[in-house]
Amino acid sequence: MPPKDVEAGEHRTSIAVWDLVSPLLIGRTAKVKVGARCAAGCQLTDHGVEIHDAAGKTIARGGLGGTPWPGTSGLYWADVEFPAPAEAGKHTFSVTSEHGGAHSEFSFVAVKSPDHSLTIQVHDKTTKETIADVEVRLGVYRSITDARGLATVDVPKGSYALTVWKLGYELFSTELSVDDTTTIEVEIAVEPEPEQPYWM
Amino acid sequence: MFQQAGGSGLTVRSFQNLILVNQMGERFWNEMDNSYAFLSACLGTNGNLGRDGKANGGGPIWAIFDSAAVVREKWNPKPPNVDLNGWFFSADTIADLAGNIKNPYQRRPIPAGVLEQTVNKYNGFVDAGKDSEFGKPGPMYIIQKPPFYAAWSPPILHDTLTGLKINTKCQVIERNNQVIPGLYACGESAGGFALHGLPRVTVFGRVAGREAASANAS
Repeated sequence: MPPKDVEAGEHRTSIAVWDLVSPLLIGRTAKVKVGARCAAGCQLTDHGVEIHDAAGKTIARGGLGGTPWPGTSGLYWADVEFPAPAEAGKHTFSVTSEHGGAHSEFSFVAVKSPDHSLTIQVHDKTTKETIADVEVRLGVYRSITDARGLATVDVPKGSYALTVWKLGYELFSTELSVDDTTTIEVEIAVEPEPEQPYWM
Repeated sequence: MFQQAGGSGLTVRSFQNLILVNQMGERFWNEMDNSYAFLSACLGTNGNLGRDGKANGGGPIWAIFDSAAVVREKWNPKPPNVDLNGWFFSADTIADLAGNIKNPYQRRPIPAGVLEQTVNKYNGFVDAGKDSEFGKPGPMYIIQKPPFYAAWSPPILHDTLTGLKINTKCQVIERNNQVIPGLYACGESAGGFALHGLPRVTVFGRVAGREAASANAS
C-alpha cells in the first residue's frame, strides 16, 4: 500500500528488464525478469506487469513478488515468460506496469533453431595454455569458455563473424563459415602495455 | 579547490564494462578508443551546442554501468571507494538513475527517456555484435541488471603546460628576463617544460630546494 501522505501524482514508477538471454529461438518460450519501482515507496507486491509485442498486443503478464531485488531500494520483480516472435531479426517489445502506468522497452534478436555446433578451443598465443572465461561471439550467438578453455556455440549453417576476447587480451576476430559440427582452435595474445605519449 | 575536484574513485579494467554518456545522456564516442580522438570527443560540445545560445565545451561525462559490471570489475561501489557527494549515483532503474544525477556542472537533469534510449540502443549493438554508431570493437556486455550506476568520468587535467618562467636553478624570471631574488618555482607552478607528473615535480623540486638552500647559506 502507498504511504498515506503521498499524492496520486507522485507515484512515478519506472521499470527494469533483465536476465534476458539474446538471441531467442523462434517459436520457443523466453524468460525475463521485470521489476518496477514506485518513487513514492509503495510496496508493489502482486501488482501486475505486462509484456507487449511490437504491435502492442499483450503477450504476457506477471505479478510482482514480495521482496525487492537484492541491492535495490524497492525494485519489486517477477519472472515473466513470453513467446518469442515467429520472425528472425531484431525485435523491440515494451513493458508496462499497472502501478504508476510506467512504460519501458527492451530489445533482443530472434533466430532460427541451430543445427550445428561449433566448439572453440582458446589458447594463450605465447604460453599455449588453455584460457577459461573467454567471451566468444559468433554473430549474434554467444558463449564463454569453461575451465578447459572450451566454448560451444550452437548455430544454423552460415557465415559468421567470430570474436574472441578476455580482459587483458587483444580482441581476436575473423570471418568463418559453419556448415558442419566442428572444433576450431584460436590463439589470443596478451594485450601489450598501452603506449603513453606523456607520463601519467 | 580540492572539494570541487571530486571523482568516482573507481579504476576501470575494461571499458567494455560501461558506456560513457554526455550531459544529455547520449553516447558520443567509442569508449575503447585511447587516442587523442577520444579526448577531443570528451572536450567537444557534447550535445549542448546552440542550446540557449551557449556552447558548453565539454560538460559532465558519466560512466553508466550495471551490477553485472560491478561484479566483473570487482568493484565495491560504496564509500569510501566512491564519492556520493555529487560524483557517484545509483538507482533501481535507468530512468531513476537519470533523475538521480545531480551535480553542479550538470546544468539540466538528464532526460530519463534519453538515457533509457541510449542504453537500449547500446544493448542492441551488443546483441548484434557490432556498434554501428561509434565502432566500439566487439561490444560485449549489455547494461540491464539492477541496480544501475553513474560515475563522474570527464578526462583528468594532468597539467596546464604553463606557469611561471624559470631558469635552470628554478629561479623565477620576470617579464624583463631578470631573476626575482629569493623566488623559486617548480612542478606544475613552473612553465617551459613539456612534461608532467612525478618526474617533473621531484626533479625540479629538488633543484629548487637545493638552489634555495644554497642561496640562503651564502
